[in-house]
Amino acid sequence: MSLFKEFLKGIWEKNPVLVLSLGLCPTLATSGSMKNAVGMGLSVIAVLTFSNIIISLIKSFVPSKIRIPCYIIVIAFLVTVVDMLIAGFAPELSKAIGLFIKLIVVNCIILGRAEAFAAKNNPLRAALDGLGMGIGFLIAISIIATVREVLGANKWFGLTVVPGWDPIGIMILPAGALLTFGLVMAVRNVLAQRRAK
Amino acid sequence: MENKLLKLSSSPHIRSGDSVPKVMWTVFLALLPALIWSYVIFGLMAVKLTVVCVLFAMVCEAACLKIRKQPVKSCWDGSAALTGLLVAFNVPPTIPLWMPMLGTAVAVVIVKQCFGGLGCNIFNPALIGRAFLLASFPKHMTSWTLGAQFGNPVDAVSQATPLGLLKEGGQEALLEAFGSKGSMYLDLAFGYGRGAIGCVGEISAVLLLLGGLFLLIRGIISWHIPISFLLTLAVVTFLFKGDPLFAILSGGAMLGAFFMATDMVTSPLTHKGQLIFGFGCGLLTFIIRRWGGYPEGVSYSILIMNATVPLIDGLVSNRVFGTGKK
Amino acid sequence: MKTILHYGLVLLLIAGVAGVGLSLVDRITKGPISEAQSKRLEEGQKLAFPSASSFGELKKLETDGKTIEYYEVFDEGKNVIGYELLYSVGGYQSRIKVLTGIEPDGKVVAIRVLEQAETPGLGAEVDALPSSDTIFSAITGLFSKKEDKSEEVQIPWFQAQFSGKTPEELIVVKTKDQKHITALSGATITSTAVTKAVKEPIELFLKAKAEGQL
Repeated sequence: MSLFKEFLKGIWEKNPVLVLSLGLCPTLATSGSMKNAVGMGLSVIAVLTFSNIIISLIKSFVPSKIRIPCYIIVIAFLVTVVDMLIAGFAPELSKAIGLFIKLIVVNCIILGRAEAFAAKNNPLRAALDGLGMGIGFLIAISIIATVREVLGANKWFGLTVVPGWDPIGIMILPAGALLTFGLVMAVRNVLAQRRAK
Repeated sequence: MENKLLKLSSSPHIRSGDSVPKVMWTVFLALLPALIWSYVIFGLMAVKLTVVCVLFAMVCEAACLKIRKQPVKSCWDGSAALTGLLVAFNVPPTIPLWMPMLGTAVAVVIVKQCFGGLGCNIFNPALIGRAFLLASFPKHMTSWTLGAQFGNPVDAVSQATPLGLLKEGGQEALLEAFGSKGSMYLDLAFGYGRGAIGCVGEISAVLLLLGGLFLLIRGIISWHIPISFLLTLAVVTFLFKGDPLFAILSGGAMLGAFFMATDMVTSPLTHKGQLIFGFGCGLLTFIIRRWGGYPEGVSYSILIMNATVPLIDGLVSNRVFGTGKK
Repeated sequence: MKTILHYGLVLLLIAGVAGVGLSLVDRITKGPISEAQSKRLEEGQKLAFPSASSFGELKKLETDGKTIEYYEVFDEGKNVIGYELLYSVGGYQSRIKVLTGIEPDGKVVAIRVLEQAETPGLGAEVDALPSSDTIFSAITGLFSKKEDKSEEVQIPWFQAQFSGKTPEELIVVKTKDQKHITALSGATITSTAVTKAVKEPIELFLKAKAEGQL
């Protein structure tokens, strides 16, 4: 598989959220507003890329029986770094999504890619895979957040879309998250089927 | 073409005169008096709202059937139209028109068609439509105006429903608003005077009861769900020192018990199961009304019980003919 | 035995490297983090009592089994002109931490919600500014010359309602009403929680003060 394809697969063909159904907890929790979703997506890209690189580097001397605890340490380390950096240099963002950043540790995309890809490939491929998957995550969560914020709060990035319109409040609630997620996934499946024909 | 060959179910095959359209349009007929009454009370806008919802439900159904490559003709079978009618019956008459239309679309497209169409939905579509609207537009869904007889309700002052009064001010507030207990029962039963406040289709308990009896006589529904629903509600209310007659006459109890809890798709198959189902609905309605955040709990109680239908069916399934006793 | 030792060493090595890395990052971010935190608190203190010139140390008051943290508020002559109470309650889906400035008799000067993570679009609107910015105006604003917005900190309308109210007036109502606290539409629970986070400590504080517990 060419390097470019390795990067590209996370965006469409194996999109972590919409195809692999990984990392749904942060997707549902932070997609209520674009600001949170983009912050979350960018943090995931950073953590995922670096965790993939590090794990690919240390794969040869980590015994397979204790690989999961090793990966978790690496991931937890990176997440804590990101958390501290955001808290230090972007306090407003930290106020909004600080709680969710800590949850990246248990985001299954990260451990999933470590186990399924980084542990079997060289650091360059692992980095590209992590970057692609991270961007795929960002795109998916942004689509869901756009639908939810525009319909549910009549806003996008906190800016009013249609002045004076009563938004559909349920879209901003957890029920709306599941609903939007299902519908976006369905649309992707339809498009994928069309392309396959 | 091959679809026709595949439409076979396992034996025994009993021929009955019932068909989906016949059942659905009979229910429609049973709800007609309540619709006429809401025209009398709320004026033309109630009818406009209902007609728009019914037509829009059929349009949504047709579009879904077309996308799903099913016979589009089935949108005339009345099931979608009935869903639209029930959504319209479950919203306040003063709500902006596009909101119940959205609720109707959610009911038909997401709750019914996304789950596989007629007969495959887990929840009552019209009630999910209502729940969706209540979660989305709490302000519009809970602002009521007293229906002026033959008048225009838009100009009327915002008021609390009888159940809202009970929740906020207790029995005293209720008595104060109605004058006396006797006139309260009469107003609520006929949906007149101070009783003429609530959703489009739920104001007149007596007309809904008549419609329900009509369905019973025609054999469309059995007595088990409505009776156990209303009886449980009345008895539990009485046990907790409430007013049992008020409990079943007010809010959506009649509409829910006769027309929504009895939906064939989302209620248990056996009579024993239906009794349990009705009991659960009544109990939950009381619990939500007494201790919940909302004054009215009929729709949520039916939805919660919808979710338990597979369990109930498994619990009290009939002994299969030819197998031994347990 | 040998494998256990091997595994242990590998884990130790990775954990050790991670630990060292973390302490390095901590050294860089420690300053900015505590700075940001104290800045947020200072800003809040100033907003909750605009006429104050300085604030006392954080003090704790235990009464009725509950703990209130408070600051004394001084004017230029170091006289106590009021208090700021720090209190948190459970909201709809998060803890809501509120700083309330009060006069000695319990009248609210202003409040400031310091921390909350309520539902965006509903409960989180406690922080909403009365903004009329729309996407349209934001886009057109990009092309036209930006006017200097005044540096003045705006107070969210929900929180502004509390100013000047006595504890008895702190009641949540659903319809607009100058005398009481108007709930955010669709977020009655959050509105009630914020009101409770203001009212409860004031009542406890005044009671403790009357009993001479300060």
